Amino acid sequence: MNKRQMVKSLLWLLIGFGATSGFLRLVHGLGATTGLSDATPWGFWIGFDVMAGVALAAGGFTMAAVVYVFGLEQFRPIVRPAVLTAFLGYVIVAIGLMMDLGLPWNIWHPMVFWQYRSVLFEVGTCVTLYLTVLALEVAPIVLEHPLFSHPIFHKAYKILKHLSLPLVILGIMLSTLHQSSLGSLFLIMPFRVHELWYTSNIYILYFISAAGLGCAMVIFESTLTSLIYDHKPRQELMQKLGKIASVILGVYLVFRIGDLLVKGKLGVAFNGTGTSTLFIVEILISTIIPSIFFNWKKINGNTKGLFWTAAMVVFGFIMNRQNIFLTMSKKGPAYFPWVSELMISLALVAGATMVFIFFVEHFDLFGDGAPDNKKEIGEKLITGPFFGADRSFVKGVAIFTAPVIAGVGLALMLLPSSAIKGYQYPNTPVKDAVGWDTLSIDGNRALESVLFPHAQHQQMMGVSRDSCMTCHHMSRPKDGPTSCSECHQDMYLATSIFSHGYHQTLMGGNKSCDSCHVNTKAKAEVLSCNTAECHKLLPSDTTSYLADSYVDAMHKKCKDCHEEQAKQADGFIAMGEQAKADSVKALGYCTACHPGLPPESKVRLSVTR
Amino acid sequence: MEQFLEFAKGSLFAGSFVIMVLGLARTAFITLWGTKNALDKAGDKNIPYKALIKETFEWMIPIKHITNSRSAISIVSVVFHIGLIIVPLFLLDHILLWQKLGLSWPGIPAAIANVLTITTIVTGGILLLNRIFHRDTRFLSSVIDYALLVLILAIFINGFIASKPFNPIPYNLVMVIHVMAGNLILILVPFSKLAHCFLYPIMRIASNIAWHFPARAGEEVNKTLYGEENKKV
Repeated sequence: MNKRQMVKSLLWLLIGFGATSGFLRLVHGLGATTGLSDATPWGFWIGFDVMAGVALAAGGFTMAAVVYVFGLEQFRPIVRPAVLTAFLGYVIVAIGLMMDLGLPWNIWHPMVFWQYRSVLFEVGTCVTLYLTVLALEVAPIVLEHPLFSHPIFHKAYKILKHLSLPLVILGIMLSTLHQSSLGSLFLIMPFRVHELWYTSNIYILYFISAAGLGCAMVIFESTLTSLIYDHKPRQELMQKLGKIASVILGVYLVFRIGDLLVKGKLGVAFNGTGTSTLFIVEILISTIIPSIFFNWKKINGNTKGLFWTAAMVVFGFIMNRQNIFLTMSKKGPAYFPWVSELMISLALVAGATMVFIFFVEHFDLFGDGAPDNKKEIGEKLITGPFFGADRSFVKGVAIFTAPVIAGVGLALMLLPSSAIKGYQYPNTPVKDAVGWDTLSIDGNRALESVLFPHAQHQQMMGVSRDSCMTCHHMSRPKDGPTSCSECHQDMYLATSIFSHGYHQTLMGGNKSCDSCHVNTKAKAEVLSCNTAECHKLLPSDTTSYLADSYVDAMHKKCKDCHEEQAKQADGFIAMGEQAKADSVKALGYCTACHPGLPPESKVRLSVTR
Repeated sequence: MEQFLEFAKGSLFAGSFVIMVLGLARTAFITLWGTKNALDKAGDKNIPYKALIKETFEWMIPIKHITNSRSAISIVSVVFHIGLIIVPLFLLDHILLWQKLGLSWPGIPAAIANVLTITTIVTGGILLLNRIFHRDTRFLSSVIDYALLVLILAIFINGFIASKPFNPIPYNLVMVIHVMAGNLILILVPFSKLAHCFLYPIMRIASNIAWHFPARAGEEVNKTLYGEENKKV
């Protein structure tokens, strides 16, 4: 396996994993498959797919501006890959947004229902328009392929070539708007964004950093392709671009630090907290170190040095866009991205990279004619189990379906169970009732307690073994009357109270299997708990014992008895004891136990799940 | 251990099973494509399909072919395969696991399962010894051949002793080994010679087509594979 096959295999693995996660997300919804919640609806996807995706696509407009506006013709050969990267970056944004939207099929709404007071409307419109412009800019690269030799395509190609300058200008304009408006989004939440990242000039910072990052991204992808494809890198061009990037990054640094100085908040960066460390590391990685490295002859003189420096900038600014979310003050449960979120994002990046590689191999991306991929054809054939596949298509299938399958399998193994099986009710552990003569029953502490007059019930029913067992129907070993919450451990879900391990140890390990698993047809079948004369009091069909949910258990025990009592009301009326009849009748209503409900409420609270 | 066992029986099994299904589809596609290519290159295109299919079924019940040079090993191998196919598919305890998904099919009684398991373990052991001590077989065996056989034996032995009173190892540990080795074998099925459980008919047809290649075709194969003509395959 050579370098290219290894890279592609890895990408296919990520695509297999992420595509499975994405499919499950569309089937089961956000709640079941991601860590997002109503309290934290914006998570990793917004920070990475949208914020970082757009920023990484900045190479397109930066290079277009450098060549067409500033007239630096020497950079023309790298405009095409930069524009393609921008296009793929925006496709990632679009697909990522579809994943992040609760109702993805409503994505067309902002185009029709204009909400022009909203920053998001501006962001959405820019994404749509710029994606269209980028598609038109990329189209000529595709149309140059011999496959599109029909005159119609030729005509379209000519029209697009004529339109190229207006398109470029439009693209630069839309990008400028869009890059800065992503920053403007944070202006509506000044109290949530941390003071080291929040500034009322945040849109300027976003724009400048995007320009610097755009240059770094072009260096990153150009050096990476030249490393993978053993092209001769355009070393001098990249060096020059690195110097331009370092100037822009320097301007960004001055603005960022200057802004903090003017606000008087620079001290916060050095107060030693985790957040301040995060800030310092981010600034060092994204700006200061790369600015030095891009001008250091020893490092910018070779492809690998340039590659790693550019990678540092890219990583630094992904970190920058993530940090603003990471340090945001939140209410509600803590958010941490799930594997599915990370893998869907990685798969999007991997997919975009695959398309880029496809363009490198099949189109004239660098403006120097068809790519040299003769080497690959001569590679040793990969043999299947019985036959060597001797055509390159099957060879490709043979090599690259294996990682996809591995990815799909890994996804099913590693994703959380709710992502695979769909939404599952969360556990709501039950807390004990409190009190002595009167018990306050409020299992999930929802401040809607039911006051249960325990002493009164004792008096009424008498204290004997049988009367206690009306409610305390089972006890833990060597315990007195065990309280309800010991077994009914969850508010809404049934709890398994059978411990296989406990019984096994108690009864003497492997020798005791036959005590319960008597030689029935399948070993997994068991005798019920009372046949073996162990638990004589349990119902005769009990095998694996599931205790009802707390709500169900309480309702069953209390309601049945109360309804019996309420039925006696007619008898009391016949005997002419109206007051007694009323009090007994009241027992049949929900309000007998739940005083918070409307008086005489006859609503049956259905709690069966 | 109990939780890991649940994980191994649940998510890990689901993933391994899907890998096996998709992997078999992949292998079938590649092999069929290879067979088609072979057919394109065959000098004589009159392939006797009817006879071929008949022969394929004959090899599935290889009573006719037992009278070859090493008939004892052939019989042992056939007995080994009977248990190998029937026990994993029709053991009632395995069928119970599928009932969560609403799938069910008739199983075999525990006594027959026990007998088949023991025969498979014994015959598997004989096959392993044959691989180690018979000169020609050893010459043809590679590491993966031994590994697969040991893995299959491990699954059967662990599954057999798991719920038996004489089992000296803790139940959960035995089950974890049983389930994990089973998952591993599921993953390996499409990517190793175990694929013959699925590709057997294709293999018979393909190897027959090979007889219809033109004379000196082997040298062409050599040329394609290694780029030189006189190298030994």
